[in-house]
Amino acid sequence: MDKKNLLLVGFITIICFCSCKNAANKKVKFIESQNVEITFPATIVEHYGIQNFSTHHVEYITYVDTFDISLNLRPLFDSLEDVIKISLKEANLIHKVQNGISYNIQSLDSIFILYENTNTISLISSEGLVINTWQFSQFINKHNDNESSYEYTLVSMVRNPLKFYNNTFFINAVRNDIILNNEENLRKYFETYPEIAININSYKINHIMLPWPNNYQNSKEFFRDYWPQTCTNKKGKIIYSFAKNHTLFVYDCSTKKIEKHKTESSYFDNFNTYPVDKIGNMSYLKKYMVQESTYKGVIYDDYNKLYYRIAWHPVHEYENEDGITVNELDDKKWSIIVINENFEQIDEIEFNQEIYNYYYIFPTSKGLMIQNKRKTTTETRTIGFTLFQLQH
Amino acid sequence: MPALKPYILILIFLACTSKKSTETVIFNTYLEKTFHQKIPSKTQYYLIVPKFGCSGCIYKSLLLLNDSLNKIDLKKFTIISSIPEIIPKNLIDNTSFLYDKQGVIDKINLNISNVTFIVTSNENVEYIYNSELEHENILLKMYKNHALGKVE
Repeated sequence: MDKKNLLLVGFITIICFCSCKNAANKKVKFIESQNVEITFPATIVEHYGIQNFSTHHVEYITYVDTFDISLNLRPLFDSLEDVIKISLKEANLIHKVQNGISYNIQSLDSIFILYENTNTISLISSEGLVINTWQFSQFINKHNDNESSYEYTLVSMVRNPLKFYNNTFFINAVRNDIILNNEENLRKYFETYPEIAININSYKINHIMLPWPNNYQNSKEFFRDYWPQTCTNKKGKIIYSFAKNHTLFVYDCSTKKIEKHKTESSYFDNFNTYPVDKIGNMSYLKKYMVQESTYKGVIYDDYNKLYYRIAWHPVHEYENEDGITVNELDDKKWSIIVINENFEQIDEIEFNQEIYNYYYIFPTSKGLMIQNKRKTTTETRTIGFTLFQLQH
Repeated sequence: MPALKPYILILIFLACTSKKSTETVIFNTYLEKTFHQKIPSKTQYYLIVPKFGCSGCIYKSLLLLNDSLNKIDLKKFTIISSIPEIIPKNLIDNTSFLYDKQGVIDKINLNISNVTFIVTSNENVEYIYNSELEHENILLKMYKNHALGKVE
């Protein structure tokens, strides 16, 4: 073997060694097991949230159908079960469901409905009967000043839903007394603690003593991110993730203590700010969103006792080489940071953004269901998923 | 991607020789490749409804246009979108509608976001205007002014 060949063999050996070492370092494997396609009625409103829910026996995908004003629970894997329809017609008499709602299913017989922009929550039964309704005040005292108050709206969304634990709602309270188009109002907004706890018996409202992360409170920095992202575990803990901060904040609903845990994507480290004078400029916003790094939410998987934090990677070149096209949000790569029960980051898995969408991710007993773009058809309202089995 | 370089050179050549703006070259290439059409000589109003934008603003702009159907010359109007499901049926039925199934319109390198208005004449893009948060009703105003010769 001459010198050239020796060098080549050596080079290949080093590469093989490095690849094997990387493979061995992977602590979590997501193995594709099957595809699942779900066709929804044309009258569903995705904005109200397609969620998952499980009883001891059956797992469901849930959605609101405006055709018959109902909340639907569709069995995921057991096709012998019928879709459970819970009428929202009685709830509709309190506030129009068509104006927007979000929901939190505690059990089949106990479902909370938040009517959008009303600060009103109802509890309904499986027969659609309204068992109780809470109308909360339009004003709330500042967390550090009992003398002054501000107007707010209760907001619940897919990545930061209404939470309920020990007779208390935990929810995002968004200031609506200021318009976020100048530095002063932005400073006020990010000085205000984003989440509140409301006791359902006393109606007493307390701020969750979790401020916005330090980089959000710096009046010179603005990230154009207005909402925390949350998930809950089964032990009464709420996990807070912020789009432009690496730290996870864990709030214990019983002790009211907050722990901080650093989890960081290996695909980015810093977050660039958004110029205040570009607020409302949608073209600039599009370019910013494509080029910037962002965390897109945190999900708890009770079957595997793992947390998943979604990292949306930056695209460094906005314009493509053809000069005709640009990258869009769908072109952004993304990964899942896998975190164990002790909030230790154990792995980060990248997904092919051409196939998989981070928007719908549901933990199930048969694995993690992730939206598959190629199996999704808008015309027929079909959402395709790929089921991934986890090995860890 | 080396294969794309001749394409870029052709575009630059076309842009230089015919003195057409980059916007014109891009939009014309888009119309040709996607719909086998060209920017016409006569004045044409293209209304682009893209995927990216403030959904509330897009919705309001479209409703406003829908309510104003009797006030505009529909023959001059072409709607282009990859998401026809969010456009009122009335608007689609009464205008020339181009359904971009592949969603290329959402990727072309033009200033497109929210409902965007592209005015063309003499085979050129005259201007591109996209509605921002606070200007939902400006599209109709722009159209009317332009039709009356008040916009340069």
